Amino acid sequence: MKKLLALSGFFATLLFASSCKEEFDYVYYTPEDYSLISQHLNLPELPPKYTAQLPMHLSGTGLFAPEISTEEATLGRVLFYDKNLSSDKTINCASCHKQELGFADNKAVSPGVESRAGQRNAIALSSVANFAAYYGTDLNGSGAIPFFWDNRANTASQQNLETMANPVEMNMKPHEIKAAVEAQAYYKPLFKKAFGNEEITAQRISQALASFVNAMGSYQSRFDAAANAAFNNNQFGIDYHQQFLNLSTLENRGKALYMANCASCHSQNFGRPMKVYSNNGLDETTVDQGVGGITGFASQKGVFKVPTLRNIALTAPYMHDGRFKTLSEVIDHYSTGIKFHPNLGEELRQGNQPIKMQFSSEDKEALLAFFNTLTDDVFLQDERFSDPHK
Amino acid sequence: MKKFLFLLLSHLILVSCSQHYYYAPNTLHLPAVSQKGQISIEASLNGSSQIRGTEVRSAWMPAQNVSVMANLMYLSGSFEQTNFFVFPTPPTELHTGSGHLLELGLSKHFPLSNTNSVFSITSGAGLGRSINTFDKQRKAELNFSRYFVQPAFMSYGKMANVGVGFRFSYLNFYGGTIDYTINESDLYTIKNIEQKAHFLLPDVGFTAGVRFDPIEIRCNITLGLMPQPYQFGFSNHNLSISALTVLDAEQSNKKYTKRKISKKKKRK
Ligand code: HEC
Ligand code: HEC
Repeated sequence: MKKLLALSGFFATLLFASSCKEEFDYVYYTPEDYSLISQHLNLPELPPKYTAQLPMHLSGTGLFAPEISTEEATLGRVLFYDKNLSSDKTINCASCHKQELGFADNKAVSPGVESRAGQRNAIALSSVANFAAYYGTDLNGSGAIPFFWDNRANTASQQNLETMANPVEMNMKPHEIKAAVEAQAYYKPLFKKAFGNEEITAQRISQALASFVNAMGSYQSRFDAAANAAFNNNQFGIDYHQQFLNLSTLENRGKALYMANCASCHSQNFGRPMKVYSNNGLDETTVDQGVGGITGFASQKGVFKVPTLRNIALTAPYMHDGRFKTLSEVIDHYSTGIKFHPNLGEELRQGNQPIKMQFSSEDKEALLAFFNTLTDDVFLQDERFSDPHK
Repeated sequence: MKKFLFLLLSHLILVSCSQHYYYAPNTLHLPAVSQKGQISIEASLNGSSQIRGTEVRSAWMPAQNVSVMANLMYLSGSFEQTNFFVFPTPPTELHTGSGHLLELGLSKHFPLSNTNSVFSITSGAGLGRSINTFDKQRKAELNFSRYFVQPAFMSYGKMANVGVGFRFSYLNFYGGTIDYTINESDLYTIKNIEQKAHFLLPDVGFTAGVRFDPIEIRCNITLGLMPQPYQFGFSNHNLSISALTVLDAEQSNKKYTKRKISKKKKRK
C-alpha cells in the first residue's frame, strides 16, 4: 500500500509540474550574438518573415512568390544599408534606392562614389509586385525577365555583384567587399544564421543581397485592393475594363485610359509587363542603345526594359535617362510627343507614323489620379525594408 | 494470421516520411498479468505511417487484481525534402524527428466469472517530449504530459489472446523551445498546438497475441479517434509487433501457462 501511496505522490507531482500552462519559447539569436548585434543594429529579436503572400489578382495569373530565406534577407538588409561596401564609404545601395522614394532616386542620374555620375536613372525597386516572382528565379530561367534597363543581368545576385563592382556606383572588387564585411564584427552571427557558418565570401554577400531584393515588392496599393476585390467578386477571373467599386469615377476613367493605351506593354495587373523590352519613341535616334548595346542586334538598338509602374507617382524623374521630371511630362509625351524610331513599339505606331494619343486635359487628370492609386504606403513604410543601422 | 502479420510488416517497411510529428500515441498497454506476483515484460517494434520506434511495457501485480504498469516509448523518423520554394537553387534538406514518452499506471482488474476474460481499468500519467530538427539544425522541442483512463477487456485462450481497450487521454503541452525560422507551415502547426495546449484524445487499441509459451507474440493496433489530428501534426495511429513474457516472481516453479483466472474464480 505504501508503494501505491508513493505512486500517487508521483502522479500528483506530475500534475503539479504541468498544470501551469507555459508559453513556448521561440528563439533565434543566441543572447551573446544578440547583444553584439544590438550594439550596432536595430534588428528585432525574432526576425520578420520575408516571403510575399501575393493577392489573388496577381497569384491567380501565375505570378508566384517563391520562399525567401528569412536569415539571408535579414543579412541582406544590413548589407543593403551598409556604406562600408563602397570604396569611399559614402555610398550604399540605398543611396540610389531610397525607400521613401519607392527605392528609386530623385536624381535623373544618381551619383556614385566620389560623386561620379552614372549614365542611367536608378530603377525603382518598388515598381514590381514582387521581385522574385517578377524576375523569375534560376528555376524558370528562360522565361525570367532580366534586370536593368538594358536587360543585361539575369539574376539578382548577378545584378548586385555588377553594381558593387561598377566604378561609378560602389567601385569595389569582390575581395574588397569581403574584407569590408569581415571588418564588422556583427556580420559573423548574421552569416552564421544565413549560411550555417561564419565564413564570409563575396558569393554569400551577393546571395544575401539578392534574397533581400527578391523579397521586395509592392502589392498592397489601393489599386491592388480594388483589383483583388473585383477578382474575388468574379467567378471567372477579372475584367480590368470594368469599373472598380473601390475607385473613384476619375480614377476609373484613368484606369480605362491606361487599359486602352498602355496596358499592352505595361500590363493590366502590374504583375509582369506584356513586353519585356520596347522603344517608346523618346528620340528619333538614340545614343544609349539599351538592349541593343549589349546584344548588338539592330532590332534591339534603342530598346529598353518596359518598367512596371507601381509606385510610379513617387519615382520621378522618369525613363532610363530620367529626362521627364513629372508624370505630366510623361503623359504629354505619350499624348503628342512620341517620335518615330525604327524600333518604336508596334503598339505606339501606325505603319511609319507614331501614334498621337491626344489626351484631353481631363484625360490627363484622370491618368494622374489613376497612377496615384498605385502608391503602396504599406511597402514604403515597411520596417522590414528600412535601414537597420544605428 | 500470417497474412495479417505480413501486411503489418510490409506496412512497417514500406512507409515513407515526409512530415513532422509533434505527438504520436503509444500502444495501449492491455494487461498481461493476472496473478499476484506476476511480472510481465513486453518489447515491441513500432511504426505508424511515418515513424518507427520501440516500446517497452511492463506490469507487476503486487496484490491480487491490482497492478502497476510502466510504459516507455521511443520513436524516430527522418526524411529528405527538396525545398522547391527556395530561391535560387532548391536545396535538399534533412529533417528528423524523435519523441519519447514515459508513463506509469495503476490498474484494477475485474475477472469475469465463468470466462477466461478480464475487465480492467487503468489510470496513469506520463511525461514526454518530441524533438524535430529541420534543415540547418533548426530545432523544435515540445514537452508534454499526459494523463489517461483506460478501460480494457482481455480474453485469454489456450493458443491465443485477444483484447480491446479505450484510452481517454488528457494531453497537455506545457513547454517548448522552437527555432523561429523553421518551416512556415510547421511554425503554424506549433502555434496551433501552443494555442490549444490541452487536448482530449480518445484512442482505441486492439491486440491479438499468439502463444508460443513462454513467449507470446502480439500484434497491436492503436488508433486515435481525435478528429483532424494533422492540424496539430499529431500522428493518429501506431502499429506494433511485440514479444511478451510473464514471469512469476512468487511461484517461480509454476509454469507460465498458469494464467488461468477462471479456475481460480470457480474454486471460490
Ligand atoms: C550609384 C547609384 C546606385 C547604387 C549605389 C546602387 N544602384 Fe541599383 N541601380 C542603379 C541604376 C542607375 C540602375 C539602373 C541601371 C541600368 O539599368 O543600367 C540600378 C538598377 C538596379 C536593379 C535592377 C532593377 C530592375 O528592375 O532591373 C537592382 C535590383 C538594383 N539596382 C539593386 C541594387 C543593389 C542591391 C545595390 C547595392 C548593392 C544597388 N542597386 C546600388 C543605381 C544604383
Ligand atoms: C510600346 C510599349 C509601350 C506602351 C504602349 C507604353 N509604354 Fe510606357 N514605357 C515603355 C518603355 C519601353 C519604357 C522605358 C523607356 C525608356 O526608359 O527608354 C516606358 C516607360 C514609361 C514610364 C517611365 C517609367 C519609369 O520608371 O521611368 C512611364 C511612366 C510610362 N512608360 C507610362 C506609360 C503610359 C501612361 C502609357 C500609355 C499612355 C504607356 N507608358 C504606354 C513602353 C510602352
